[in-house]
Amino acid sequence: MYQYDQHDQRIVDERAAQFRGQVERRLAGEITENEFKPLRLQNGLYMQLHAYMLRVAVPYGLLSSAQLRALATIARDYDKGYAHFTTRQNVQFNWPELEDVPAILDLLASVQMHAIQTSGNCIRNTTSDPLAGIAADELEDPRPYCELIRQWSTFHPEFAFLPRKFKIAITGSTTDRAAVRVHDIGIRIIENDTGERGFEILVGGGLGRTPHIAKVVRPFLAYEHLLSYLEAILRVYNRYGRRDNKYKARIKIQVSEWGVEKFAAAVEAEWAQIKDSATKLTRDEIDRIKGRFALPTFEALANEDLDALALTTDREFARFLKNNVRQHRVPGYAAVVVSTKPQGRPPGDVSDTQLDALADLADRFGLGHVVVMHDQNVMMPNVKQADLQALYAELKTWDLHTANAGRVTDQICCPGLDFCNLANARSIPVALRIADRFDDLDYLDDLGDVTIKMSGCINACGHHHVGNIGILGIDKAGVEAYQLMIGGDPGEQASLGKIVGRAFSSDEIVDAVATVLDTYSTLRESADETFLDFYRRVGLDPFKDSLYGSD
Amino acid sequence: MLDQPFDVARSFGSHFVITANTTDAGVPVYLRADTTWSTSLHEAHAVQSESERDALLDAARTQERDVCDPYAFKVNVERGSAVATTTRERIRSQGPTTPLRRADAAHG
Amino acid sequence: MALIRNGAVAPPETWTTLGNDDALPRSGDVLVGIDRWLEQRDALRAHDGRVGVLLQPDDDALRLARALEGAALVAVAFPKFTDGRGYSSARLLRDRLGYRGELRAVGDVLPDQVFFMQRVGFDSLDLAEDKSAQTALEQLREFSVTYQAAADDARPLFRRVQRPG
Repeated sequence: MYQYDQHDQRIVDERAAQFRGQVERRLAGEITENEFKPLRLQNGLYMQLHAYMLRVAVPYGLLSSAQLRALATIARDYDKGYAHFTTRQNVQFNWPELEDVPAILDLLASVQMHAIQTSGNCIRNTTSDPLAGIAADELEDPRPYCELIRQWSTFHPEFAFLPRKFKIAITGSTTDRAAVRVHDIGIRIIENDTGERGFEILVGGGLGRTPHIAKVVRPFLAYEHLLSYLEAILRVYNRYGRRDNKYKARIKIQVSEWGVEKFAAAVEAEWAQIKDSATKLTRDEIDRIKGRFALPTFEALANEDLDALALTTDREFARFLKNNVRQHRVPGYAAVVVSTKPQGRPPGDVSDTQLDALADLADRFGLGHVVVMHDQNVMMPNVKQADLQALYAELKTWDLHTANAGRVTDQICCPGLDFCNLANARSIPVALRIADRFDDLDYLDDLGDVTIKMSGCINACGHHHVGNIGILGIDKAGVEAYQLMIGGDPGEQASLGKIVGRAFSSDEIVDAVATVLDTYSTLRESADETFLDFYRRVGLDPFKDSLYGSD
Repeated sequence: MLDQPFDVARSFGSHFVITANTTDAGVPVYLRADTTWSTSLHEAHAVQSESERDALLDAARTQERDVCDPYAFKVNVERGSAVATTTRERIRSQGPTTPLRRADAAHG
Repeated sequence: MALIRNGAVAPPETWTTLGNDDALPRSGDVLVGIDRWLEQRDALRAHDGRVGVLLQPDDDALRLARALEGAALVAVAFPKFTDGRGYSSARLLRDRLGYRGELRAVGDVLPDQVFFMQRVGFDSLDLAEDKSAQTALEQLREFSVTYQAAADDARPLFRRVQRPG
């Protein structure tokens, strides 16, 4: 966990005080809604269908037990008893009242949290890999760089009114679990031919109306230039990004319209002017930030034989071991995926009592912290293998034990038309019906890894473009309908799903998903051929045939 | 964030009503004939002409302290009450169709 | 309307904004666009009144390189406060071109943006109609700590103070 110093603390305290003043002025009628709107958005406060929605920043997804307890308190005292984890590692509250938001921000500030820049046309939360710091394939822990970017971007005075929102992600592993290729700026920690450590900078990725895969703008950037290079990119975007059309205003459009060579040349020209400014990082500053991370101390343990354990124990725990437990680079430890997707619960929702329970379990079994994952689950990254069974028993009492990580019912799902102002169709009821339909965990295991990602509108908060099965809710002449696409994946071989055919009605969509899965399990070469590999081998036609027949 | 909603363009029906969200809690509210606000769509003042609609919108926009971003949408009128014709406005008037906080398995 | 300069309310000023083809008035302070300034800079010296340059959001501030002398004021327009291009223009004027004269934000200038405006180098702010100068002055002092370099300080926080290790 990054530990705030007095400067970090003062910034969030002063921000909370500033917003308190702005809320008072709004409630006193001294400023209009039009004037207040960008102010509240820059504090993550949206207006949704039924209520305000507050999006709390969780930098690189990391939450301490104290922070979890604060979120539980907010859910309990200021909301309807639950919180929602998002696909950008943040947490949302759906029912705060405006006059309570200053108190919520004060409470957050007291545990080193805030809602700064989680909305609006500014630089948003920098996200990363939930296995950061513990993955075996990690070249370097990206979180200190996330923190450096967070500080550089927080209240950056030049970039508060960009053409559109701006999202940065960074990975330190060869396997990209941060989906950097679908971010406005994606950063990969790499080593060049001479063994020097640095960054590959990609620009112009994004989902939404026009999905793009980010392009390499700088193949290698020495570490000390990270912030000045980002500044150059943002300046080129702020000055020249399109402002004439909200749907063409992301940097991905600028990169696409200019071409990556022209874009990179513009960035390099700007950067040449500023690369030696005081924004240049030093090794000391990076080491200092790393030192503020208070990394956990691991005991010297040996690896347990988890396969043997799986054979001797009850079937459900065995399934949990197989599906929800991830390898840790330190012997004797494991990372545990705590599922927020049991049958009957909207994906990503947790109650206040569950948040408190997670805090206690993190303290007992997880070295005091958890990580919010992009798939809306919560990872407990530092669990002793010897404690897995005890942890599982505890998770079970809190309905946090569902052993479906990576399976069909581990769906990513946006709030959709039940909550969101932007939505065209509901998503959560479809997700609930899918979870009801596929309640046989043995069948799910047989299907293996399949990601279902669902968005209620083209803004793609549910990342439907990069789901193995993607579902996009649309409005078809006033009636909800669902487009089905297949073959998306966010990783190194990032691919965007392809629409199979005409959209399905609300009544038809769950059957359609079942048909897609049937097609796969019937025609796959073996149980070892994953859904994605199967699709990449056979294409859309078998799915079209089974879904639409001779249409 | 939408620039101007929704929904004179996307809604359909014989009449217009005016809606907004309360400044205090973001609750959906509907403009009555006396330009006060009700949380119930049935109490919304439904008008047929664009000039009446615009007059009501103007009245709504003077109430900045109390409501945010008023807009008009189309409804049908059944037995004297406004009835939503789109899923979105139906959900706004009735609440989410999904369970909110689900009781925890053992701990309620 | 209200004018704030160097952190205090200043007496109101009247500047006439001239289009490229508008005749110069006999006297008085005038603002001209960047094209006219670059073409007529020398001739404008003879004007009986101050002459300033008004930059629109899509103007390239860098075109003023080596052409700032004689400008009594550089004003940067914010037709809508959501258009943030003026912030980069200000930063470039200060940091890249070394402009030291008065740099004024005009247009849709709201009290809640003035802290950022000040940081990117605006030393005077012509607030939008009916906006509170009092609130703007308070907002100028709203934050006592900043993380990143800007025109007001070229050093990021870690170079200004000793942060704990």
